[in-house]
Amino acid sequence: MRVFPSLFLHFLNSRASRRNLKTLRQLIYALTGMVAAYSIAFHFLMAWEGRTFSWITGVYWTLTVMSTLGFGDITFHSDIGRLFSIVVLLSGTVFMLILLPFTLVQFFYAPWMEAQAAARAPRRVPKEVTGHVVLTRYGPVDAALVRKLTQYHYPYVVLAPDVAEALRLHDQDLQVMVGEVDDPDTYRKVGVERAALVVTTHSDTVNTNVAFTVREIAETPVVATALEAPSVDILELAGCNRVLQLAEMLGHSLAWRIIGRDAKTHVIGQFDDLLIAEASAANTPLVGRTLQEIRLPDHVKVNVVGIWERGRFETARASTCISQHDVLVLAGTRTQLDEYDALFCIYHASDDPVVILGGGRVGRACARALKEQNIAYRIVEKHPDRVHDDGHYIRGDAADLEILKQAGIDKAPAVAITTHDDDMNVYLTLYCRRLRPDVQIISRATLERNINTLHRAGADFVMSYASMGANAIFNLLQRGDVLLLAEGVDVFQVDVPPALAGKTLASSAIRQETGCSVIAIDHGDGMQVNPDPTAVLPAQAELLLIGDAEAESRFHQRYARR
Amino acid sequence: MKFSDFINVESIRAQLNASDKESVIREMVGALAEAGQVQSSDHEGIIKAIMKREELGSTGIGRGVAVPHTKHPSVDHLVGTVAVSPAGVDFNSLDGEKVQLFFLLVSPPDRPGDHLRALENISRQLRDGMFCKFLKQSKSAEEIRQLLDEADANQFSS
Repeated sequence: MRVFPSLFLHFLNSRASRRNLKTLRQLIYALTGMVAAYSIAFHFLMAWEGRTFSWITGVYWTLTVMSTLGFGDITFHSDIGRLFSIVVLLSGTVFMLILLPFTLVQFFYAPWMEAQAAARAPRRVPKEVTGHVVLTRYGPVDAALVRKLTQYHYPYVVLAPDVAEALRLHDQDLQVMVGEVDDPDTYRKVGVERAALVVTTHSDTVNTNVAFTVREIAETPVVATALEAPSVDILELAGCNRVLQLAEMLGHSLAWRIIGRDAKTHVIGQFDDLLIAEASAANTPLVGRTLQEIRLPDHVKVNVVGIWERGRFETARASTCISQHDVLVLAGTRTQLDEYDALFCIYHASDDPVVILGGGRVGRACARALKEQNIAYRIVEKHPDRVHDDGHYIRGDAADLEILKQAGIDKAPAVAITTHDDDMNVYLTLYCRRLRPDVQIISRATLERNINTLHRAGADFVMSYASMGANAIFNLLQRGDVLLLAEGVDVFQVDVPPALAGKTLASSAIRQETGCSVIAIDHGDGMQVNPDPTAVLPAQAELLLIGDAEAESRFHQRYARR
Repeated sequence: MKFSDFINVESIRAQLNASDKESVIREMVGALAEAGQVQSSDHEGIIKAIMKREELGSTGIGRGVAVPHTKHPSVDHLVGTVAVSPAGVDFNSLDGEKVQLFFLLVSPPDRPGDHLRALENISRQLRDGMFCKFLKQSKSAEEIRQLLDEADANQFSS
């Protein structure tokens, strides 16, 4: 209901609306004049026919004829009188049935709608809004970021170039402001000097312009994405504080997930001294036993916090049984992970090359990351201009069995599917899974809605630009408090909620209430890794939790505030 | 890290007599003790530690190879030995096959890096089928030593 006063004010303040009111006034005068003239003519024509009516009856007759009501209680008998009736009828039809409604629509209804639209698509952010994140567009990365910002109660504004786009975004429940991204005035109106961050995920050239434009106004941090490596320097020169090469990041991230080659730990994230790592259970004596039977803590301090079962994350429980395709998610210090490696490095799966399907930016970045780790690889690419003759490339269609065999699909420990086409990735995932039920498949997703499909098709891990970029950007706000394990599963750090302060971990029932597991308590002067159920949650400490998106959301809804 | 950095030549056994897991470990630790690499008084403690590691899961990694290992405070540096059992021993290997070739490693708890690197080296070299085959066919400690030297010289590594 608060929208009505602002609509009314906008309506009164609009110059166009004031002009329309004047036009309406003139039309009403004209209508009044016509009614008066016809009433007088009626009066005299009736007198000419020998009948007498009051002046009010004249107005009444004129209005019934002009409005085409035509009661028929008063009619002319002469031809002249009937001709006059026709004139009144026609002019009334034109004026009242066409001109007046048209005027109402054109001069009132449309401006009213515009005023309503303008109220939903503001052109200025109120001064009270501070610490907000300004997004210069609403792409896949931005959409994932907005979800994160909403979850953590960060204010944000998405810039839309026109009202239509702003309304479209507003209808998706987004906070928007109309403004061109290369106009300094836009950033003044969005209060960029009060903002916490400006995020721009346009093309490299537009991002450069955005950074330059923002720098005219304020020193607010600017984060940009870059498609091409040479753009990084340009964007930094333009004033970006951080430039994210998402293709490179995604390629590296996919490469880090390739763990089917051995049973050693692969670190995927770090919170101070606490490392989060993954280790394949394939070809180790862990397979076929429950965590209770394995009794890992008797041998090494590292803790199993979760298990990936073919892309599905499960919190580790004593009764959890490890299978051949499982990947353990471990939390521990560097020394603890080394101890784990010392126990399991002897179990080796494969030295055969990893197969990378797709030699685009992401595929090449994945290959570079594997090369850095001295892991052999082969890239399947069908575009001749992307194929380099360095012994790593197989030219051809990845959907061709012969090509896949040439690439070594029969023996490969892992396949990384890196094309930008989700349909193709689903197809290739299904195809590779049919060919090799035991191979590790890591797939890229472009659209979030295809992530589940890729998992169902057989992908062990799915990573997308959107989630990776959003997490990387969000971490700049949160100082690295969220780690994306894979699509939909995060490790995140929060203050101990007041409702839980002083309780033991067991009595807090965090896992039962939210589905998140506490993997460490950060006391500020040291981290209590893998706390036992009797550990007390101090008021000033922070918790490190692991959970899927729903569990994380439940935790925030139940306890946490920014 | 090379084999010559931690394999004690005097303790290499080309003809193991043992016929079960514990006796293999006992015989190999005994060989290290005879060579002066571990104190006789620590003999039982080391065997117990290695057997505890075996509880976590057999170190029989398949293809007739096992790498029993542990950390123990009685040693001040990384010590290891190699043994061959021509008949093979049931070691609860991952592939269920009998084990002919054993690499045993004991390291001090305060040198986790050395322990890990030595195991990684063993693991890497043992991926070579020819290296394993020649070791299993060795008739003497000297032959084994020569093969280890060749491996150190990267003559087997792929």
